[in-house]
Amino acid sequence: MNNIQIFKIELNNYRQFQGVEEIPLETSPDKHINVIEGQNGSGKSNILNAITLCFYDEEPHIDENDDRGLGADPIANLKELESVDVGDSVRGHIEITLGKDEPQYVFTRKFRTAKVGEDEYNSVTEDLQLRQRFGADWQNVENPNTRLREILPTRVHQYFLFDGEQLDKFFEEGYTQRVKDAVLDVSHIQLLERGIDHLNSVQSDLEKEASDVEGKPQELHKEYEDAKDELDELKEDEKELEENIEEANEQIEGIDKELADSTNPDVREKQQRRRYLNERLEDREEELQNAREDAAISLSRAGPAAYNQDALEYTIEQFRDREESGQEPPDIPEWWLDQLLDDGECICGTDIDSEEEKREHLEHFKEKITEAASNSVNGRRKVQRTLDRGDDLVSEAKERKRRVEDIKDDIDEINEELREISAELESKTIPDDVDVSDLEKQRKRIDGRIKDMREDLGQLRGKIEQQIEVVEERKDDWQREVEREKKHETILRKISFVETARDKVESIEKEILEQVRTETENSLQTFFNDLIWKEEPYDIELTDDYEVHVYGPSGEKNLGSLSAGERQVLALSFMSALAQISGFSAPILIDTPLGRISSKPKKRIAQNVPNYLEDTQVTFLMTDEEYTDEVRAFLKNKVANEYHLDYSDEVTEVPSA
Amino acid sequence: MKDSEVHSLILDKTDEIEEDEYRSFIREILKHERTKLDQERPKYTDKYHQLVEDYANNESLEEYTDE
Repeated sequence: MNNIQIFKIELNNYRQFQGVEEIPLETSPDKHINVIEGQNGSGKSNILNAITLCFYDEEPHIDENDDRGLGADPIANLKELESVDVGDSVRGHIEITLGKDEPQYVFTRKFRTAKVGEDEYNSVTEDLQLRQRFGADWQNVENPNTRLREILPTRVHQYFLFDGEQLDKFFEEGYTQRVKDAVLDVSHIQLLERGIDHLNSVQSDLEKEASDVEGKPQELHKEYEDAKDELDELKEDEKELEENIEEANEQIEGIDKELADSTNPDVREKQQRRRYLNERLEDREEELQNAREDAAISLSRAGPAAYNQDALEYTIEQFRDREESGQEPPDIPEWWLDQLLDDGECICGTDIDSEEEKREHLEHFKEKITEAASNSVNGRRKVQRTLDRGDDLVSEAKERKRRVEDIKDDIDEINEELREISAELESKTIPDDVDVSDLEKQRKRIDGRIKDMREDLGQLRGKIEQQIEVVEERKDDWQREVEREKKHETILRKISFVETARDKVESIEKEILEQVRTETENSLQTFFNDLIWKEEPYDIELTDDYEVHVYGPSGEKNLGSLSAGERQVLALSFMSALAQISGFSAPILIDTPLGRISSKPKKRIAQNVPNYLEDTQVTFLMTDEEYTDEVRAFLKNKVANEYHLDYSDEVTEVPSA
Repeated sequence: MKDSEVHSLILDKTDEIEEDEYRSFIREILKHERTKLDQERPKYTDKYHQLVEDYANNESLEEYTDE
């Protein structure tokens, strides 16, 4: 066999089956059919239930002829349970051997039914177990459900293990939803649909994330560039101003040279004096700059102590008052507390060796006293030191401030003398010499212009400093935005990827649905024509809306007008088509396959059954009414194993027929 | 991914995708969904975002091995 088959079912104390009953079911390509025949209530349906209980821990195939109903019965055999006392249990198991050409897997599920009262039971099942053959060895497998899922998953087992009598209802009203659900079941469409749903959710997440980090780097880059341009313009102005100052200085140097070459000794002397004063002025201005910086530093250091002087003095005063009143430092010496602890007796007479809580209290008190004494002494010392040091710092700051004032006075004196020299030179009229007065006027004008330009230059440099900061800030803003934009672009790429992947999954889903529908339609038609007893072939259509249309020689036949037998064959064919399309190579077990079919068509179906599902092991669970002599004769050449369920006194045995 | 865990039709269609990253990504998704099929509302967010991170940036394609 190319497909998986059941080699053997072993039932131990399961429902009607007392003790161990083995049902060998091995088939061959020539003989691929098994028949298990038994009267109603003999346990046919429970063989189907035994398989689903073993594999999936469920028993869905209720025997309608069992008056008590399946739910009322315990899982373990009633005869066995009658023989045990209340409080005792009966154990059992179901074991199914599977394989292709030879046994390869043995699935086992054990169960136990406890007798909790007369006619009152409590059943529990254990986990599925699996032994698998590896070469000549059989080994336990850790995850039997995983292996079972590969052979016949829970989701599709209903198309392999089913009750024929229930099939009659399959094509009743509302059947299109059942057909659709079945087609979706066998084609794993749910995997794709979940994938699509989850991709949509992920896309929404990413879109939200993208809107959170969407940047405007171009806008900020323009602002950054504008700030740089403005800085460049300011620097250009600075350069131009510096050049103008340099040019003006050169003009003054030229005038100074002419004055220095004057024939008049007084003019030459004044010019020489002015040169000296200008050099000195330059030095003093540099000294003034340094002195101002030193004074600023001193002031910042002296500030805290100076501003908090009152508070510090108040604190010292408080320390003094507390010392005078004996509050500080604590006057309980540490050595004295140590002695109490060593002696094991408190001053109040408490035995602190025997009373642990009191000892701990005393030890804690000692720690607090030590800490308080330390804080009192150190605290006062620190406050006093801060005050003393504050006085020194304030003195230093005052000294440095005085030095600034001295230098400024000196500079004022120099400037005054320079103004006097200038005024004197301006008033001089010397024949046969350079025009001293005019030169000095020019010099004075140029010097004034230089002063103005220097002032402008100072302001301009201030603006440049500020603009450099603006440029840096805008550059940081822009770079942060670039990073956001990069992140945004990455998210956009992910969104695009998810969208494309989802489109591809949707496309796969669409193609598969169409392919599965077409294959189901073809298989349905093939199986129906294999089984039906009509001479002319029927056409069967499965529409996009999962409606089934049957066309006979005389045109379309309404499903409602089909006979019970025709409807059952249609459903049987549909189940078989789904089993084939599911892609799982599992055996098929059908309970009561011909139950609803009257005798004439039954005979004809039986005639066609040997050709049905030729490469698959098919086991029929039939009543004696179904498995008539005629049916037996038609199946004879294809039947590998045939059993008759021997039911009496509520116990079933399975001897070979 | 064992063929029997996902319908062969889906695997065949997935294998027809030409772009490596999409083919690998979708197979990973199917594998993940297959393991969660028995759950009513399976967790997926972390797994999907990680897969998108890996495949949309085309980083882990070399690591991908078809099981």
